[in-house]
Amino acid sequence: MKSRVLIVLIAFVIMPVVLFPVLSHAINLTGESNTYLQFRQATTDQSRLIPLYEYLNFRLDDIADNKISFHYGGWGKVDLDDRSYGRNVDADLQYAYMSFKSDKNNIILNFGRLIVTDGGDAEKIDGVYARTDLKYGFSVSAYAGHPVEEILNGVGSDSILGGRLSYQIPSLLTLGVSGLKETGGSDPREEVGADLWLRPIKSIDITGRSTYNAVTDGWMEHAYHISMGPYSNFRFSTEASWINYRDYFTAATVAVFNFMPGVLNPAEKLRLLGEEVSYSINDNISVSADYKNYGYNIQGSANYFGGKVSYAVPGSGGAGFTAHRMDGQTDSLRYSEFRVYGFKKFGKTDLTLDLLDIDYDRRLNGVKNAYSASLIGGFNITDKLRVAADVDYYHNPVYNHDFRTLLHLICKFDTSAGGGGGGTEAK
Amino acid sequence: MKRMKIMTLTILCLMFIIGVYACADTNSLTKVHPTEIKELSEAVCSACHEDDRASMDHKEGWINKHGFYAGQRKQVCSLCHEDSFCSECHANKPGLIPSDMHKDKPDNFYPHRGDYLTQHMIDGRVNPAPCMKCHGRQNNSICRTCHK
Repeated sequence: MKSRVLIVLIAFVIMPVVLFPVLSHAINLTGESNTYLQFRQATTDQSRLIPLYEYLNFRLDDIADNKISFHYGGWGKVDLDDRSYGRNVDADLQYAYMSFKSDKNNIILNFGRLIVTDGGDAEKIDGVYARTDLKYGFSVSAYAGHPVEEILNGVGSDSILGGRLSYQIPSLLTLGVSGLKETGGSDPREEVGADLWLRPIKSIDITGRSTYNAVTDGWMEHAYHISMGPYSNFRFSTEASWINYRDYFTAATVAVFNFMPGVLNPAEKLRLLGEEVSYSINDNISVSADYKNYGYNIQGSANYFGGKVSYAVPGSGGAGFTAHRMDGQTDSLRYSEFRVYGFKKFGKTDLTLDLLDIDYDRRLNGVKNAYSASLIGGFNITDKLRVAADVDYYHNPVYNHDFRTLLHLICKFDTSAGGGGGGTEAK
Repeated sequence: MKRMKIMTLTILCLMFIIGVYACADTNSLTKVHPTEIKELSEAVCSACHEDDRASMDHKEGWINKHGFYAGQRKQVCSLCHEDSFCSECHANKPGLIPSDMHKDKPDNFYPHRGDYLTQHMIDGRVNPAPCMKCHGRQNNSICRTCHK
């Protein structure tokens, strides 16, 4: 399976690079390579792990008058420590697709491995996606293919089919109805939903969606946000959501969501109400206070509240302090949470410090205070080449003392190749 | 599989017919934002725009509602973000966690910062719905290490 993934991964990288210079007059290649080398202990058996990750993403465009492009993202991993299950190799093709975009009507046609966000959550498919603007403010989109999912002890779905019809009054309203159907597996899905964006006046936005599970015949979720401001540098963000566990989690492919006794109760219903108020003292400093109330049908309620002070100067640095309190009816839902961070640039060098502390009212595994400290140093060798290293220390209910380090190399590239046998020129 | 191909073909034909007969004749959105936004603190859309784009300020509350905007107008997101930006959190398979990938951007408030092994048990009980979005049908093989 892994070798198959690697072959597909390599094929998707090589294919466009080989084909496009032949097919087009000029192409641009832009992308980024992120290489990470991490030193840490495994969570499960405390064995030493030295995973080396390579995350690569790039885009080829300016093909056929800037209408066709190719997009790729994927990663590969090899564990450099032989003592951890030998050479532990893994890879993932996150997306790889050809895209056509027209100059008129916002027509998009994508095919390959895609991330589709059509009204609801992000779906990953091997297939095709198309959309276009229609007359009178309408637009329509549709997708079909094979879902990219991880399946537990069951049979994966054969196909996924979905679409969305939306109506827009520019700067005032967007209203969409969407649906998806996933068939052929042990966890079929049939969902329909409605999504809303409304701006009744200039400083108020209402966004939200409701999703209905046609398999269980019940509402999965209603989730709505109201953003207001700025009013004299004040902003208000209100959220309200209702979740029915039986309808929301029924299609999960991992056991923890499958209503195991003592974990999730299918009869549970959650109502979340939240408010955040922020005030910008000036362009660089802002303060905010936030509150969330979790109300349940079966287990008791909980309140989460706190505040934040943040300071940021673009291109120079920033700092922040957050303090929150979780006040629930069970022991594990009573704790205080603090975070302090700061980052500063000194020419080509930068330094970041991040401290996080969680103080539990009742000891968890003998630990009352769980904390972590991260120190990160970075150096920009050029505008497109950067190296960074971080050291992390953790003390928590799982690890008494744990050190981790991570080396990070970032390489951005941007090259163009002219047609008619022209060479490649780095910008 | 044959049924799937027929359905896909039907959808493509339908889109083509709709495109020919009912298209709005609107100008398509540009592909890339004309100015580069380098830092989160610079992502204040209302500083330049007064129409619907002004509602996409990356200020307080944005993390909670970004999914709605991605669902309605991913084209606008694509002006500044490649799909790799989405894939860092909404991953197919477990790689590095997002906060580890961006330790030097603490003001972005990436998820799973610090000791998330302990904290996930608490967050999962408080509100498991956000967990489901990323780990419900994808990126959950690591969950099965304990949740068999």
